[in-house]
Amino acid sequence: MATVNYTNAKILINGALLSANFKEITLTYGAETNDDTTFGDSVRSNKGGLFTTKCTGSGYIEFIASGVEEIIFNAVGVDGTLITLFANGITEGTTTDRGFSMYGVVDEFNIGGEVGTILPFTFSCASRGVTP
Amino acid sequence: MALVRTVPLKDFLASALSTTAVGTPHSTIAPTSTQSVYGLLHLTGVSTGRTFVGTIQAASSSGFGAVTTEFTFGTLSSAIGGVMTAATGSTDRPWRRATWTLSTASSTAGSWTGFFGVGIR
Repeated sequence: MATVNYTNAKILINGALLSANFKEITLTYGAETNDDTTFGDSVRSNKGGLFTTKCTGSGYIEFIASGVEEIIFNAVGVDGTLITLFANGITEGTTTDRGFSMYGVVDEFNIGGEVGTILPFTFSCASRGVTP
Repeated sequence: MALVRTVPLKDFLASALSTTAVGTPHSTIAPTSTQSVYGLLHLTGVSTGRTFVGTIQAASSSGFGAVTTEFTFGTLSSAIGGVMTAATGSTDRPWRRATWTLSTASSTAGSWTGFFGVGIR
C-alpha cells in the first residue's frame, strides 16, 4: 500500500502560498442528511441533502505583507475566500493525486497561547459555494 | 459546489514565469453532460507595475488542433489574489493547458508566481 507521509501539504488561500506557516490542516467534506422515514419503514431512512465542507488548520503567525495574519484576518466574514489544498505536493497533470478547491467564509481566526511559545493561530473556514 | 477536486495545470509557485507562453497539455478528464468544469488561478506574486492575463484552453487531443478557451482570468496587476469560475465543458475535450500573457511595461525583467488548476464536477 502506497501510504503518504503528510509532510508536503501545499496551502493556497486567496492567492497566498501559506504552507510554511501551517503545521496542521484538515478538510472535512460531507453532506447533510434529511430524515424521510415514514410509517411502515423498519429502518430509519435518510435522504442525501446539501453538501458541506469545513477547512480547519493551525500554525504559526507571521506579521508580514501578504502573510498568514494579513490574509486570514482580512478573510474573516468575507464571502468567497478561495482555498486550494494539496496533501502531497503539486504534480502537474496528475488526475490521481489531486488537490481540493473551495470557496468559503472564514468563521474563526484565533491568535495567542502561553508565554514563551511561538505565537500560534488557528482558523476555520466553512463552505460558500461556486460563486463568491 | 462545496468542493472541487483539482488537477494542477501549471505550477509556477517556486519557478516564476518571465515570458509569455503556452503551457504543457494535460489530459484532465472530460466532463459528462451533467458536470461542469472549474478553472482556477492563484496569483501569488507579480512584479510591480506588471500585468498578467491567464487562460485555460481545452481540446479533444494533445495536439490542440481546435482550441476552445474555457476560462479567461482578466488582467491582474501588482496584486495577489485567487479566482475560481465554472463553465459548461465539452464532453469530447479532455485535454487542457494554461496560457499566460505577461506585460513588458518596463525594460527590466519581471516575474510572476502562482498556480493554474482545473476541476471537473
